Amino acid sequence: MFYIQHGYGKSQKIHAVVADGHVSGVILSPGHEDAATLESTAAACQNAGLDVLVDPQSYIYSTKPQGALRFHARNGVELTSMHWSASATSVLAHLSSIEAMAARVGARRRIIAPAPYHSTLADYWMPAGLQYARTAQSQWSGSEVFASIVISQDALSDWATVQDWLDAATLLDVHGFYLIVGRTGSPYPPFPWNPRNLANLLRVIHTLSVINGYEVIWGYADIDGLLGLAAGANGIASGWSYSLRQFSIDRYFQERSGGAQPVPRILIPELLSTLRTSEVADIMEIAVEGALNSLDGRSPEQIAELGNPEAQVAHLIQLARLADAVSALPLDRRLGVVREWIVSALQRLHDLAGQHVTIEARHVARLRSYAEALELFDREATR
Amino acid sequence: MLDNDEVRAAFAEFDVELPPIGSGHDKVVYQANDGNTNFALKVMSWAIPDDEEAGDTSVTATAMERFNREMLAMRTVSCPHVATVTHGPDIKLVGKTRHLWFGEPLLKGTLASVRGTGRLTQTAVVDLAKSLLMAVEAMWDAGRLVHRDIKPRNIGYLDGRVVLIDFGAVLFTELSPLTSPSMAGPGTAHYASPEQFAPRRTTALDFRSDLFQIGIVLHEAITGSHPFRGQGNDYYAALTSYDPAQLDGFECSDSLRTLVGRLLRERPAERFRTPGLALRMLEKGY
Repeated sequence: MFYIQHGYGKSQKIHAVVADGHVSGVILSPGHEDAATLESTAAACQNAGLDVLVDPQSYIYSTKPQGALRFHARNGVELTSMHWSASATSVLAHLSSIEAMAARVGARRRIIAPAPYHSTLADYWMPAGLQYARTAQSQWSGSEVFASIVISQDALSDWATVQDWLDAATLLDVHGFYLIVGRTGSPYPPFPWNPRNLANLLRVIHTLSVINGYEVIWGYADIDGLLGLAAGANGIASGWSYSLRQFSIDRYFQERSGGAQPVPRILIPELLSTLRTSEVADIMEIAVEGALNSLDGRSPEQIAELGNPEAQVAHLIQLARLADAVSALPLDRRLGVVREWIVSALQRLHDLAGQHVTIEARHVARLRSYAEALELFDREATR
Repeated sequence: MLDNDEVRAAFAEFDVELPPIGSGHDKVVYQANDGNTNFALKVMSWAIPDDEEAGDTSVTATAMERFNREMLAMRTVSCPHVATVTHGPDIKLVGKTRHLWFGEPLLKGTLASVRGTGRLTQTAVVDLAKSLLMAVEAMWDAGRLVHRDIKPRNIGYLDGRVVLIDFGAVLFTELSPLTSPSMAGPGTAHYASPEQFAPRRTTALDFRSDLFQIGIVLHEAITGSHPFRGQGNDYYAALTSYDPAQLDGFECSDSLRTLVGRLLRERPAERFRTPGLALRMLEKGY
């Protein structure tokens, strides 16, 4: 299943992606969206038959310095007093404000519980994270409650620590887990994963979903999410902007200088890479066999002229199709298919390099990290 | 030590048969009759100190608390596969010392005596698995209780049904522990889960330890032999790397094989997050 990770703005783009037929739901962001727009977007998505989830975005309040999102207050969400030693009264107040917001936007059937951000899975916030989920489950009767796990990628490096956390987390009587992993920095395309960390993340997903039967949705996952689906995730999410395609906690408390206008990019399924539209047009000119079969009949000129909004829609349509294709497979076939995609993509990128087409080296490095992580995961989790 | 004749004299209101039908770490079990029914009379072998204050500071205080918890567990859990208290609990003067006691239904043998060193039929194994999983589910639901000592001697047969007995090692996960943080909790080493070997300060037990113990019991019932005994110094390594291929060649359905393999996974998170899910796997194969 594929979810659109929606930040702010009107819902026309959502409908453009949904119209392609491969989107299951949307994850809204109450910290980024004013109350009226949040409500209208949720209503429009529900009318389109989408599963509407709301990410409480609580994690920004557990950092030092504390982050801030100006629309939380306007949506009635009070989380600024979040603290690792918060009283039961505070925890209940936080949950009440989230429940009221979810009810207001008509998204109470399936609710994501708040959680802090964890630098490690053994930090002093961990008991609080579990307690939010446990209390939400007991308070929100009649709802399918998702516990949030919001962690740094570095928290995944030590499997023994991850296992200890899993032993505790799998006692939660929740419906599912909403998983977010913070990456280092926020360049796009992202830095390659440390294969060890990614393999451990896949094992977390596998343990929660396949072994323990929780519904697992990996937010801010983008292309990485295809590996998550192969490991057993039920859903993945990605969004319009780079900041909705990979999660970085830093952006919530670091001063930002605006920066340059993002370059339009679209996902090329055959390369499992999101290339600049100019790169895509170059590839089309030399016509490497099999490299570009999924551009919906656009010409090189049309590709080169795509603006950001159109490129964003095209990106999510392609990703949703891939996610749907993986999800439709029986679990025991997913890993093999995704592995084949990676191998093919690497071969095609190699072929393109042989024809002197210049593509950012980061794509190859990322795909290699995928391949290595899948090998580790296959060896360790499915033994 | 209890003197059998003194016990018989102390419980004059019952007809107590000698010799005892069993004895454990801290209790002796007699067959008794209350005029209507035969039952198992269980008398604690340690005496309650006369000086209550001294008792509070002695090991006996812990033993008394453990006894209270055992009684509480048996009275709290409502499940046809968990033994109930039929008489007592109370204190009785036996000879010159006071002893705690209670009565349980008299079993028609235990799994240890029924199975011996042989195997059970697959039908009997499935019934055993369902009964034990239901018992563990009832204990966890009733008060977050962990039995910690599921083994053939603590599994009885009563009126044709499997019953879990002896809650002397029961863990109330929401009450303060009775074991030193540096020590492992009580239980039987050859039926302990991997996490039960760890000092209490480094681990937190839950019902999934009981699931592991059920896994050992089921493996034994299917194959007639313990899955890990005889490994010597490699015992712990074997305990944490069980391969269900050990069941190959025995009468064992795919779902039962998968169940035992999952119950005997090294980490609690790799077993089942509820006993109900284990039951479902057994019944429906997923």
